[in-house]
Amino acid sequence: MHVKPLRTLLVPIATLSGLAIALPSLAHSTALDYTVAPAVAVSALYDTGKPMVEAQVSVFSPDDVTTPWITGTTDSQGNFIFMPDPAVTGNWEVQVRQAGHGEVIVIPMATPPSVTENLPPSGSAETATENPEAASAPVDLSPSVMPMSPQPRSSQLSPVQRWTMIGAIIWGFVGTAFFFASRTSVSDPAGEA
Amino acid sequence: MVSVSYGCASSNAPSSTTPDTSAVSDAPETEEGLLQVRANGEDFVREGFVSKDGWEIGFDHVYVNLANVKAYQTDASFDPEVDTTLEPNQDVMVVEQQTVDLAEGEADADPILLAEVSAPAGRYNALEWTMPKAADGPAAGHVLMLVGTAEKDGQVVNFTLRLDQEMRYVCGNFVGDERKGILEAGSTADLEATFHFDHIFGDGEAASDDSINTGALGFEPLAAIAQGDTLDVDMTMLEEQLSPDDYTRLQDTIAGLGHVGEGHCALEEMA
Repeated sequence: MHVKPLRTLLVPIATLSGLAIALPSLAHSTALDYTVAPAVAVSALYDTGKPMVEAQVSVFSPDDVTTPWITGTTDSQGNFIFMPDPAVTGNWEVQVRQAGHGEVIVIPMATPPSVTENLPPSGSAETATENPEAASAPVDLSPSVMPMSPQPRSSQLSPVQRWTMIGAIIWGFVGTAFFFASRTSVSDPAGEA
Repeated sequence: MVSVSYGCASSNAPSSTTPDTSAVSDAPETEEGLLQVRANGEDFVREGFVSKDGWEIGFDHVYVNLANVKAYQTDASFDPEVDTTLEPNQDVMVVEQQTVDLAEGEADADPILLAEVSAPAGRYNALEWTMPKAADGPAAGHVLMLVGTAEKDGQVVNFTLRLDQEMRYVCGNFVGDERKGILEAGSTADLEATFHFDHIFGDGEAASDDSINTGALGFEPLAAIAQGDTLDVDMTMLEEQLSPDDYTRLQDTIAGLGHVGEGHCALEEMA
């Protein structure tokens, strides 16, 4: 759905249909906005499947492999999500450490990934092959790019919003038709050419 | 695919190839810096610790024989737990053979410097070493020799463990508080071979169901075979005197000693 043409239609609707309602100004207001961008979800698990909960995470950008670009901790499922700077391509590195266990994983970032679907972080977890002979549990870090690229906001409208807009458009056409019809009758009241 | 678990289970370490330098003669001279490699037995060795079964262990000496210590520049994504081959574009031999005492120095001593060599600038993201039997020195004939004292509930055991399990480790990026191996021209960088002795004895400060303890031998099985207050054994004697399960566990934990900080290594038992 094209947003821009819709807005050009809605403005005449508001003025021509006579449905515009003036709202009082707000004493306090907030502005919420959002940006949709590629994100990386790292799932940190021991080979037993047990998540590395609240493990230390350091993310290094390709531009500086010595100073963390961002630090944080994994969540209760062993997941950590970050949005790399899309302008910085190359190998991003994520180091995860906990209680003497740790690993570094390299995530190549070339261009923003194409849109497929939004994957929940938990869906990206992969458990390493268990080794019953292991004295300790190795760490499995499973990265997955959460493919999210810029999308028009109209694609995220609810059905109610969509039908309201469709109805408004139809009403706009009807109103516009009446408007021109009335102008025609005024300019040629007798219908004489 | 190499199945590696912390270096805790036997596996085939990645094979490595020597970079082709036949065409280097026409290439511009590479800028160099100083690359250091250190060996670290961590606080467990320098300060002592309590085993998973409550023995207070202190070390007088922890001799480790190291050989063919090589640093590599390789593909950034090299992961010894996954990759079966190591194809470096740069390799540097740092130590051909050396026996080091990891317990040397005070409790707050720095990790022991094995060697410092001139090396081409770049990022050294892989480290390999072997642990063969020492040809001479205090640990002659052995790979590892642990000398110290263990105490629990008034019982004291003076131990000397002579371990002969020959291993080869191939490790990836150092994992720790700082990043290592990033060598700029004219400067110094270091790498570290880290040895986790809590893998053998466990850690009394960790939960009993923590993986560090569930796989560890502890000291109790060793104390049980002591002669009075003395335990002086080699691998042959340990195989004879420990239960099969305990001996297997000891072998596994010895194999799992090698790390790079907290980072894991692929390993193979040397024939």
